[in-house]
Amino acid sequence: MNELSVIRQFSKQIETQFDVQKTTLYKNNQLIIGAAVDKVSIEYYQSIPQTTVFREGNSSVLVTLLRIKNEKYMIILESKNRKAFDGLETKYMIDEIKKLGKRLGEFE
Amino acid sequence: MNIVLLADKKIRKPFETAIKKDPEITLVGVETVIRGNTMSRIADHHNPHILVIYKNVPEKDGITIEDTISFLQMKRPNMRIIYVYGNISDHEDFFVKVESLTASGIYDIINSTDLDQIIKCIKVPMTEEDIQNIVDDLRKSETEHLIIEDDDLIDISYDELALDFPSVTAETKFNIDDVLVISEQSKEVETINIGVAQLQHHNGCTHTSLEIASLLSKKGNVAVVFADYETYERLAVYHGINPLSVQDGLNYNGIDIFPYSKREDLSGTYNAIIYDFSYLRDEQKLTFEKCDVKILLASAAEWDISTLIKYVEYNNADYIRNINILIPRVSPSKFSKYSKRFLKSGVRAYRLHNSPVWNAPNADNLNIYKRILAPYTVKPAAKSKRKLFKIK
Repeated sequence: MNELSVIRQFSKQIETQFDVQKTTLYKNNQLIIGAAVDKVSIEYYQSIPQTTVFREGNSSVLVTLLRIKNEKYMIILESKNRKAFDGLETKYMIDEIKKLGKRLGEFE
Repeated sequence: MNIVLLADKKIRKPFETAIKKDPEITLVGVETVIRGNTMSRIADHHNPHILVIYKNVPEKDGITIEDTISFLQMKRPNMRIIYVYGNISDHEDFFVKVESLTASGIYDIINSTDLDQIIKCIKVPMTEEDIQNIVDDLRKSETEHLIIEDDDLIDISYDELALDFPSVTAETKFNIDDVLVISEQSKEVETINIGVAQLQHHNGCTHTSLEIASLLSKKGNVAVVFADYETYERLAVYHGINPLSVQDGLNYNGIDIFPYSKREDLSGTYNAIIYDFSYLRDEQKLTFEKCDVKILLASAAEWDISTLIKYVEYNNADYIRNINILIPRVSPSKFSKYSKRFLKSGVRAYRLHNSPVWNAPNADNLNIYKRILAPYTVKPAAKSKRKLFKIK
């Protein structure tokens, strides 16, 4: 299984198990999966100090960053539900993201 | 004149609508993808005087835009080709494209998606000099290092507003486990009041106010109020107008501009009022605080950052967390370092990009303004546009 398959598998899994409708992943500012995000949002997301949930209008966006050796990954999970990414659910999601990080580390 | 459009399908409708308004131009065909038979359809079936190609037209069957241009130039050497590059976010990419197109004798290269500009180019071809001027301007701004290209907040998990050295300038390690929640409430207003101020002089307060006005003027009536009368006076004088003759306001590039003394007369007339406070003086602070959207320009230079830190630290947390800080002239890495600490305390900051022409703002700056204004919906009552002296 290559890196892209692992990412796709993660995306499918996270969208099935949680209230997530869209997964976007950037590796070193290159879009790997999902829809492209504008430059300003990328810059804003890169400056988050920790996993961050943005509640905007009727939707929510969870953004987190992974650093694996010299590679920087940005994961953007979008939900159409403003109340998504709450409490325990987010903890489980972060666990899944960490598992993804371990698997991606095997390719570096 | 007959034209054919070669562009992604989402361009088609607005393009057709704009072209229909001009009786001199006839759209004889639209191709929404480059594939095997596209070139012969354009050359033999449509055979237009002008072909308008958009940069991101989808390519299939391994045939590229370059292949298409090269083939059409051979087959129909008299067909004019207009290339719509769109807004420039990567200068190098634009330079490479210009070099390749001009080498093929194509000088109609439009660095905008504005349909009026495209129609203008259809009617009046660009010259080699025109495109060279665009490139020179971009290169000049780079060499001057002017380009560093490359609501409400509901506090759930913010740190206290205790920004000090070295916490702001120190590298912060990303923490994946803790979750920060930034929540914005949607708001509906009849007139949106936007206050733009600056912590130090010459951070581009008036320029930013006019850029925002330029963005909003496409959707409604916008007024800009200059709090600094000297700025208002100088603008009039620059355009050869006696300031005394425009005491009631003036219209510049479709935007109504007023001196601060006229601000009370504007309610009910505009969808958006932008107050350019310039350097924020104590007597204007209350008006700034009352604005729906508050924007503060601040320098992040080594000799200025402490002013910003003190401003954040010494003001009320609710007030500070409702301000959008715009930082010009800062590198992405430096900005990211500062912003991490600001965000942790619930303070939002954005990095402004170089944008020399206020009525054609940089696309990234427009995205920043759109992001700041996103929570607001303006539900306007009936407005009337004033008749003001126009600067042409």
